[in-house]
Amino acid sequence: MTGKRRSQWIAGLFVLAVLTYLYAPIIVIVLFSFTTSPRLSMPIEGLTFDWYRSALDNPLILSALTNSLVLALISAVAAGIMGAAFSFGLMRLKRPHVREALIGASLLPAIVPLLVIGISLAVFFRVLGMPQGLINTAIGHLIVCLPFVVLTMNARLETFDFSMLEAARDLGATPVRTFLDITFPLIRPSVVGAALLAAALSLDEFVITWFNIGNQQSVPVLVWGMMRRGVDPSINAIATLLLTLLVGLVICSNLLGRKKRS
Amino acid sequence: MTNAAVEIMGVRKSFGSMTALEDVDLTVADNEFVSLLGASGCGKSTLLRIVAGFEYPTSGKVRVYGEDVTTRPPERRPTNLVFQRGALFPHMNVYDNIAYSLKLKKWSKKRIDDKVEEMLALVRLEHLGGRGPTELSGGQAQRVALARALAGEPKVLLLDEPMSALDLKLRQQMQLELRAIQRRLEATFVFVTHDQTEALVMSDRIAIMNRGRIVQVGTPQDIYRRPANVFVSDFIGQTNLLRGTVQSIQGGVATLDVVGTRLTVATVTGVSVGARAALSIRPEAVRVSRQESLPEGRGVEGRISEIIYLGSSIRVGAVLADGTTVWADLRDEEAEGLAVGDLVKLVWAPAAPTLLLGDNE
Ligand SMILES: Nc1ncnc2c1ncn2[C@@H]1O[C@H](COP(=O)(O)OP(=O)(O)OP(=O)(O)O)[C@@H](O)[C@H]1O
Ligand SMILES: [Mg+2]
Repeated sequence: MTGKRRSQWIAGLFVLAVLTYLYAPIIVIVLFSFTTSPRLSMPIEGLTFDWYRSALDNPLILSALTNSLVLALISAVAAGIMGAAFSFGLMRLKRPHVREALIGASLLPAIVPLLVIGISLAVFFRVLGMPQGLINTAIGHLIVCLPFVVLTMNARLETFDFSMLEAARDLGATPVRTFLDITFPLIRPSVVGAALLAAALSLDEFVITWFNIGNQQSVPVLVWGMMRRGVDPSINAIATLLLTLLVGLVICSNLLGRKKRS
Repeated sequence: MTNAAVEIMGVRKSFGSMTALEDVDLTVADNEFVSLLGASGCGKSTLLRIVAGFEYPTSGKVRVYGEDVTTRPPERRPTNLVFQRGALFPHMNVYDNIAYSLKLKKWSKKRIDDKVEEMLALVRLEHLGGRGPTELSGGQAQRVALARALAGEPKVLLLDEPMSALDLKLRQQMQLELRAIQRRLEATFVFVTHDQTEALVMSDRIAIMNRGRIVQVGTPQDIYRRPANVFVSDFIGQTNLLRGTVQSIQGGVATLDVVGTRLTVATVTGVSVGARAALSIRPEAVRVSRQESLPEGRGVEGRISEIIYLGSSIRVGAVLADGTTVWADLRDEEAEGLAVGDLVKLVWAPAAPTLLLGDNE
């Protein structure tokens, strides 16, 4: 009896330790983004929004934030549309092994090291004579996001009854009408969910961005630069903002994914 | 032909190197209920989808009420298809599903309301207009699919195994309903099934398909009583096939030698003396007799090997000298006193057997 109780205790402690290990850094950052002390020190002296104010007053940070949001938006829209269209095309292929192979090929970039993608892109764009900047970076982000969008869309389309589309045509709908009336309403939650995921991936992408963005800044690149000059407490504020945004996006993405399955 | 609803003329269809349909000809008359019947993979769905416009034939033509529709997309054909699994739109309720084609035709709200109501009454789902497709039973969903396909008043309704997912009881009930609806609307139905009973129950005519070809077209009686070849007789119902060699043909009667016994049967065109042929006799046409003599030309001798109780009848199997088993379906009193091992005569009426040529063995 006591042996059993003790083993339960140990198991509980272990779970707690792992959770602490996972979340402590995040909690510390969120906490320090609200503390008055400019140093990361205990105990906490007082609470303030100053770091948020100074972060949002800093023109560098503002432009980095804008760039990050632009990149996220481009990633969401482009990856959402391209990924959905690609998955749809795949599903219509008659030969199953060709389809499997193409799905595999489209997912591969997800396990290619980001460093490799980042450097390859940088070299590739140099060869093309394209100056570093947001466009190159956006293209890179698309590469990172697309496999995840394709994965999400494939999961949805596995259970998609394509005979519905034939039924619509049969009942008199043109291909365009069929898309507007049937296809799009049915896949919209999954596409939006996948797009939100793409936005989240883009927001905290660092490696590819760093190699391709040139003298511009995105939030992760800017934060990295600031860290090299010493820890500025407004970094905590930026990180917390980013965290909130990401968690929000992922939650929305999951909720949308869940709804369509019911 | 002015009363032809669907004319399928020399239709071939290949998918890459695979030929799904070979030179299919079929004419469906106005108001007719025709079933395409065949085993899985014989090309039934492909043929129906060619009529609906989802596939285009590799060669050949399709006409609907005289109009060549061969290359028209499905949305511009006067046909509607009921899909195997309904294919209802899950984001629309029953009403909107049925109204979909009418909205596309820009009917007035009032007219659509009336039509949807009429359709719901037709399939006996008056109160379910507001339900979502996921809130329907399998049978209800297929009824809605039927109502949706009929709402746009197609000239020809195509049905691809619409009941295959339903259980037997429900299927039998829906078979009768579907038949009644077709009669009431005086509509032309082309129905695909691999279930011979379903085809027999509902159809004016049945087209039997095998490996991409139509092997026989006829009324259910025709096909049951006068199958055109061994494949059809085997496919439709149970049958005894007695294989032998044609000995003589005289006065419309062919004589066959089957395991040393001479059997007679009305001849068919294309039979010649010396040819291999088969005699097909339904089990319910075979009687078991213990008399000494065989009636001339319409009986064989065998030893009872099996007696199976089927409820409404008793099935007796007897083995002939060459090992063929002949089955007879008997009423209780006819089977009385029979036992496994008895030597008996299996006899039938002169008109019972059919002579079949071709694809033996
Ligand atoms: N789009 C396609 N691509 C390649 N082959 C196909 C295609 N559609 C059908 N076939 C092949 O054509 C043949 C006929 O198929 P079809 O679907 O018409 O059969 P069916 O008689 O309806 O069978 P079932 O009773 O199983 O539905 C099959 O061998 C099938 O594999
Ligand atoms: Mg089929």
